[in-house]
Amino acid sequence: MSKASAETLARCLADIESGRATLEQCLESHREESHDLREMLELALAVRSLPLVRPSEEFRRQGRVALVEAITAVSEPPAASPARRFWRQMVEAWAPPRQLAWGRVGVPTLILAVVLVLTTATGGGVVWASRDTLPGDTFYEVKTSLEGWQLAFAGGDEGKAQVHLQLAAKRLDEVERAAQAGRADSVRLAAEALEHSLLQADGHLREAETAGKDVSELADLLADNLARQQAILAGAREQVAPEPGEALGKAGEKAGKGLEVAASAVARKPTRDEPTPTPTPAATSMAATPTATAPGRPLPPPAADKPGGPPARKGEGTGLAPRASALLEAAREGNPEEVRAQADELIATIDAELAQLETAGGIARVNRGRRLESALLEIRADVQGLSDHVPAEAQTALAKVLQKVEQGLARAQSVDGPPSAPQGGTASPTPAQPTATATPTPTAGGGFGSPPPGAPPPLPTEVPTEDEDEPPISPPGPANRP
Amino acid sequence: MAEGTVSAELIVKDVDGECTLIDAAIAGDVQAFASLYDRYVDKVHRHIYYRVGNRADAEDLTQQVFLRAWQAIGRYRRSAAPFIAWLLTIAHHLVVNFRRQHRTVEPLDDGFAAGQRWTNPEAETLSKYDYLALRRAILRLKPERQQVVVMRFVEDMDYADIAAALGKSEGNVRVIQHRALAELRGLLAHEVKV
Repeated sequence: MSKASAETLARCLADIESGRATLEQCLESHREESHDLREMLELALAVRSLPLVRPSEEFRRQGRVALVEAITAVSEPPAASPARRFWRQMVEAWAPPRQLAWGRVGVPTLILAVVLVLTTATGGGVVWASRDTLPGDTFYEVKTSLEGWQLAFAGGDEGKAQVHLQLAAKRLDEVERAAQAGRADSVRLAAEALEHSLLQADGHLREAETAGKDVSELADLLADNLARQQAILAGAREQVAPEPGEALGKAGEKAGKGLEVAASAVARKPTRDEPTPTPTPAATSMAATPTATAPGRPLPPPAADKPGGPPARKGEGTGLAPRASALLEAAREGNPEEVRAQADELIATIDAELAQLETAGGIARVNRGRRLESALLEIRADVQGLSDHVPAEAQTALAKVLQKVEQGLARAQSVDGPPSAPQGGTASPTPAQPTATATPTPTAGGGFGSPPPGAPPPLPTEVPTEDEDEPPISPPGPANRP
Repeated sequence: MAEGTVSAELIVKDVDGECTLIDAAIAGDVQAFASLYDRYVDKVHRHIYYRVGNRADAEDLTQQVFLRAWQAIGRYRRSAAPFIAWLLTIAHHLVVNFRRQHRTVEPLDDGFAAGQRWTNPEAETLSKYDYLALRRAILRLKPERQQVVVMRFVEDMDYADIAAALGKSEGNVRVIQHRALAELRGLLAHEVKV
């Protein structure tokens, strides 16, 4: 396919689009390639004739309101309204890790985070105009679309876990209010959403701890809220108990499951005064602690921890994202020396990641393998996409990277699941009394059976899946890189 | 516009006060940014819609585009690319990531407000292409080719703006366009055989 053909096609298209020539006239002028040209032109014109899609008015309107609300909360100076001031503080507390690295979170911030969850749970401090709506209400979707913005703002697993906790608190508030109003369907929907939020929070919490972040404060936050959640759910059960129906039973199950998740996260919380044990193959998802790092070359900090660094991306925590971004940047700038240097750095980082993978155990190992695989797949796609556009002298460096990526992928993909526990001799990491916290038991009144406070449930055996809310990658682009 | 990398050669025109709005948005004016949203949300949504295949995902990603744009607007330079090209670059990155997470993509819905905008009689001869098949084929294009096809033929952007958005030369864009149409032809032919 020659450049000349591309230019001919472009010229013919321009002529047809401007009305200077018809398709047949263009073909007549280029008889030697008229067959190919005809098909190309017809296709191009067919694509041009695709319908002019427009978003719905509802989306436009709600999206605009949500956008303004969200960015106002971030960018405006504190307004006179205490609620607005509080909201701004909340958003700052959730700022992505490059502003608020988890390891540097201070006590005031965490207190603020606790306050924010409790406050939202009681319905106060929320600026959204649609805050009082319940599932099934006309404007309920306005509220949930606003929440989409909140999640989009959150950076990193810790930030997302916090937002999901905050959303869980909202759902809890909705359960309470729906129960007071005797709206069984709304109770069920809110309870389902509560479970979802808690599962998401738990998933992010696991990801964060697997990445070596200290999540004990967040687990504290969960613990602080457990008693309150149970009280509210118990109250809700009493409120709606006289009304029979399947919806209430389901609501109870969902809410109970949500509480299980929260309790599970608390149960996993390490005791800070005790040394963190070295992970063993039998270790559970708590195995990946900051002290469990592999020997050898230290990993670079995650991109989001670096001031001014690129946005958090999937695979963050593997340490590969900043290296890959730097390589892509160098390649796009056409600087062979820098490409070679960054390629070497990236290869070294992949080696370090593989070394870490070897020493990880249990679910942490599986998670690390998956994250590594995901990150390597992204890098492979990015580098392959670049190959045609970088100077020849940088091609060798990229080829080396691709080779290393393939090696890494083979290793990461071989991690199918947690290694089996050693036979005997090792204390089981499973909490001592799993039966005390097993599946929530629906009660006669509709069933908000939930684990008693302080009784840890069995650790979930399901490996957390990739998060769908993770902000997409924003690889370095052309002149303007968002 | 001359060939080569476009950046510094773009002539900045304050079309309908766009520059004023952008400057105000960079300075932190939320309402100015909201006006830019009003101005471009349709285009961004349409671009994404044709690349992810359904309305719900297109709406989600459109929201994210504007949020990302607000967060990054301080780094936007008018001399480098028109604002819409910049927005579509953000959209492209989001779409690429979306497609990595959702490997199988199919056009899921057609319930959009739409109208035929191409009135060239040539288009009337092209009824041999089934719209749904065409949309499916576009969804299966390689990301960069897909981006060029949608920018060029759906968004009706000129080569200079596409080149600015992609950070490539206009000639390069035309080559990608040619390859994209060739790939599209192959995909459609394969679909007919299947």
